Amino acid sequence: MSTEQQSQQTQGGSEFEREPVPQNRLLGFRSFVGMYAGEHTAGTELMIGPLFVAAGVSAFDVVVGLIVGNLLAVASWVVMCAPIATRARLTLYYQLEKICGRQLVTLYNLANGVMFCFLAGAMVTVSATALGVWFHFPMPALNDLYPNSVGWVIAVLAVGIMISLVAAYGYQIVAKVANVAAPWMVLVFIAFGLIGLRQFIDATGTKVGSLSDVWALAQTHIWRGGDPHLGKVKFTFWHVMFFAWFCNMAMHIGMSDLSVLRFAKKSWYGVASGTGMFLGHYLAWLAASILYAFQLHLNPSNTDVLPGPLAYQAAGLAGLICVIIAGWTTANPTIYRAGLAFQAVIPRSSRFTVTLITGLIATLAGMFPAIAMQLLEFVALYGLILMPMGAVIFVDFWLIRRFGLQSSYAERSGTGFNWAAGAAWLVTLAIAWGLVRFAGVPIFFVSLPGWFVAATLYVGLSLVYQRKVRPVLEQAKPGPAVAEA
Amino acid sequence: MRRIMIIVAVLSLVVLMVPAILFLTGRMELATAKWIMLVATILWFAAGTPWLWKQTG
Repeated sequence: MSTEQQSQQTQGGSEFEREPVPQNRLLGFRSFVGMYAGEHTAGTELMIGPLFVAAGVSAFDVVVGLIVGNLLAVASWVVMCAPIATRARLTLYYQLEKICGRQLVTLYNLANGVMFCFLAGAMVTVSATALGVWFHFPMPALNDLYPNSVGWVIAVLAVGIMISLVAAYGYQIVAKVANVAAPWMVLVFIAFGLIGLRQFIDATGTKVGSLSDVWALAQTHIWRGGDPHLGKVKFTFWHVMFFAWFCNMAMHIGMSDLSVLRFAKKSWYGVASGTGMFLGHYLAWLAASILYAFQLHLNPSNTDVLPGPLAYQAAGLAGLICVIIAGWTTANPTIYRAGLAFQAVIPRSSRFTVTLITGLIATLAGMFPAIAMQLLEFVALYGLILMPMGAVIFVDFWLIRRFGLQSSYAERSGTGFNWAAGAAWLVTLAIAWGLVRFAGVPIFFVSLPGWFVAATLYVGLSLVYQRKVRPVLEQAKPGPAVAEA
Repeated sequence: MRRIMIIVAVLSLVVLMVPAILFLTGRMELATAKWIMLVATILWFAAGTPWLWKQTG
């Protein structure tokens, strides 16, 4: 059984949801290698690579920026997430509940569910572009915000309903399909890059005798730098590095992967995330960006980022199948997770109904190409929104006792809403929003200072909060307990 | 039977990559490469599914 499946089961409530994972259920390193490689080679990689090119990135910035950013992402899993996961061995949700209280976790779940919904919507968008190759309906352009044809709406609806039904009926089957498809999908992504490279060599008449010739081709024709496309932010080395580091911020620094890595025997198993980063977030992004750059080379006015046609021109039907499966297998668990997050908000609702409704909301979101076409910004926003709670968990686990405070304070005080954690979360987001909105700081750069703001706020607010709201056990001595001040 | 399936599945992944490499080196036409990749894809799902389906169950 893969760690992802175990994680899903756990989130579904069948095992170790509210207790540490026992020693005899821990998993070896190989389980995590496969899981991370599969999970991070997804349909959305075919959007992200081209969007780098649309952002006017240069060869050095993208090739080196991705290496540094991905190394930092792996380090974040190893240093930030895995040590807590392998010591506490609890799900993210239970760990948060002990710190924040049930009501605050419900709010977190709501935010998480909404973001998952939009992310799944982008994956549905990716899959639907494959149908456009067969049925020839008008597809969205790079700067389109709204659905632009009836054919597009029908295609997204068809793909979205199918994905939603499968997610509601049988998540396990899709998890198995994803596991079967993963090795094949990684190789198809690499093939995209090799084919695109040859197409560039032929189209430009470049003589390639050494690696330096390939590098020259990359600099002059593939990632040329210069101005971004209309409506896009110019990407430099720092944009690429921070994007690669923080695009999965919700999972490493945001601690979502506590639920996965709690099954790891050793905390260094976090390095397994390197397979996902360097196959999916390096090779796949570069390969997809080569295909898009070639499309621009042939016709500079064709700025559409459409994974279906891009994959088809490079690898034919195998490429189209890859787009459909990559979008489908990653949209499904995302819808499933969003459904679980919403179900936690309305506990008495049936999982089937909630997942189906969630899938339909994601389908509706997928009709609007704005999310997929602005995926770089959306992914950064997704990480940013969930990051402060990761800071709260980190501080609560490692540091808070050094300030004379108590950890897991919601559990100790019996409160349903730890205001210190809640305010740290919301104030950090408000500061980040202010920096983006009024100071013009790109969203890719606010998460790093945001983490320190959240951590400092949590400690500072806890100093006040823990004085006002006393632990239940402490109160029980002099008289009846009153949890909330 | 299981061993044959595994061998076919692994070979199909090799066959999937070879056309892309041959196209890169200028030794194969793209149209041919696309057909071979499609055949390799079918082979992978035919042979790899029974193998990995059980393994992930």
